[in-house]
Amino acid sequence: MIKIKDLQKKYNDFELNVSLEIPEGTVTGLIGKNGAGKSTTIKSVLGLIKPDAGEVLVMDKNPKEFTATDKEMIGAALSDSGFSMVLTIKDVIAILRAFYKNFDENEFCRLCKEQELPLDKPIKEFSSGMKAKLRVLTAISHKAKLLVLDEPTAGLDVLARNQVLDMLRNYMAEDDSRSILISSHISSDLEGLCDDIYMINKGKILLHEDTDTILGKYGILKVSEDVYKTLDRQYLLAEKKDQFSYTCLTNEKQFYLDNYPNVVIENSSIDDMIVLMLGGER
Amino acid sequence: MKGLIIKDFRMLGQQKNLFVIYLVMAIVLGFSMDGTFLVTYFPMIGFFLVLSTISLDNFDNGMAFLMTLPTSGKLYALEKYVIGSVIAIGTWAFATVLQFGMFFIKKEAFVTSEVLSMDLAIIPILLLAIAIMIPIDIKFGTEKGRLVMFVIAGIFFMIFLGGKSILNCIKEQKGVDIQAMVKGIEAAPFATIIAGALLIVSLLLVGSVMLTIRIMEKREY
Repeated sequence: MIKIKDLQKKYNDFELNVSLEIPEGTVTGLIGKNGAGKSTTIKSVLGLIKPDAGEVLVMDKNPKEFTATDKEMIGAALSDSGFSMVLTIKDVIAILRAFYKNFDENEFCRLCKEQELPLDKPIKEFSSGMKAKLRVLTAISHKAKLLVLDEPTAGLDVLARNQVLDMLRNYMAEDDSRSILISSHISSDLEGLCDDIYMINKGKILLHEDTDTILGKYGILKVSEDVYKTLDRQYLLAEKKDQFSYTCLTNEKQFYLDNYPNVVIENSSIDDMIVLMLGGER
Repeated sequence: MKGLIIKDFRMLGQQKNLFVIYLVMAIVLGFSMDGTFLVTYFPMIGFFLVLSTISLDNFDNGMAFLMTLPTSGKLYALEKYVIGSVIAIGTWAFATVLQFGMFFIKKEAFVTSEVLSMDLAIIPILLLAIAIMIPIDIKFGTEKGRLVMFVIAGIFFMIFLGGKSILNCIKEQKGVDIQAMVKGIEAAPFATIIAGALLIVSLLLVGSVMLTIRIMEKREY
């Protein structure tokens, strides 16, 4: 669905250089700190910026050459952009009807009602949660083959975040050939949604792994300095020295469970992984 | 382009209170002032409302999202000229009818060929405003666009001030007497002048459209 090879984009104090691939029928997460390069990657997939070098192919086409028909197959939600705030959802419905042949007005209205989004109120009077829900509803309203979502849950409370994620799960359940590229700095959102995850930092991909592998094979070792000295470190991806101990990230949890029965080994969440990969030593 | 047109009309519809105020002002001013003022004022207000859709599109980084919809920078540029021309000419026609109605009510003036000529002369001016303002607004945005307009107006003012010496200089150095040519144009039938003005403005519009498309195609979001 998406192939990015050696995409490069340079700004004054930032350089992006990434490669990634998103097959059909998968949900791929892009995680990283603010300013890591997630939005730049997403914008290049949507053809909103021109790469300095490298190749971006979305549905086998360069996004800059997209026709209106190509764009109808993509649903996008950007964190800092949407329909004009002076418009109401009724206006948005009229606009989407004109833009998309497959716009499902009844379903869109049903979901707006379900999410308690008023049809007659200007968007500027919406809360940030309501605006985020509208952005996602707009993206899924026309049966797109690919959703490209930049921080769709940013600034939302837990309840609203779960509602947005449920909408995305339902969207995927309707057609298993659909794909989603979703960026977030809230990793727990991605754990329950994504098939695989790319971690990006300072414009480079640090890690690409299946979510099941991260949750199943990755682990956190908490060891004293003495134990650390005797530890086989070939499967440690990152480590962080605390005051009297070491916290280590491994992608071979079972190896340490089998060989170091006295060491405390916890399951790794994506948050743990981010803290150690980005904050620890490698 | 249909989606973009609907979006703009919906955005203009959200400013209907402004439209009502302008309409009331137009009628009041139309009654108290020369009717030609109405024909100049009303379409310009309509056109400035169209320009306001460009600033609304840009507000809160909205252009990035717009460009993810099934449209393109080229279509966006073309649509602004279409809607700008439709609103400017439409409001001009409306204002002209209103002007004639006022003549009838006030029983002070009549629809003479001079009045008609004055009204018709507004059209190339409106199209010229479209040709100048749209690329400036799209390239620089509303705030910077105003600054650029002041600079352009300043340049025109300087040319106007030094006009006579510039014309004399051209006459002396190149042997082209522009003043005599202008007098010749003034002597031509009014229909010819309007047709000529429309032709020149149409060429400027084509250049303006091409420039705006280029601006949009080079733009990143």
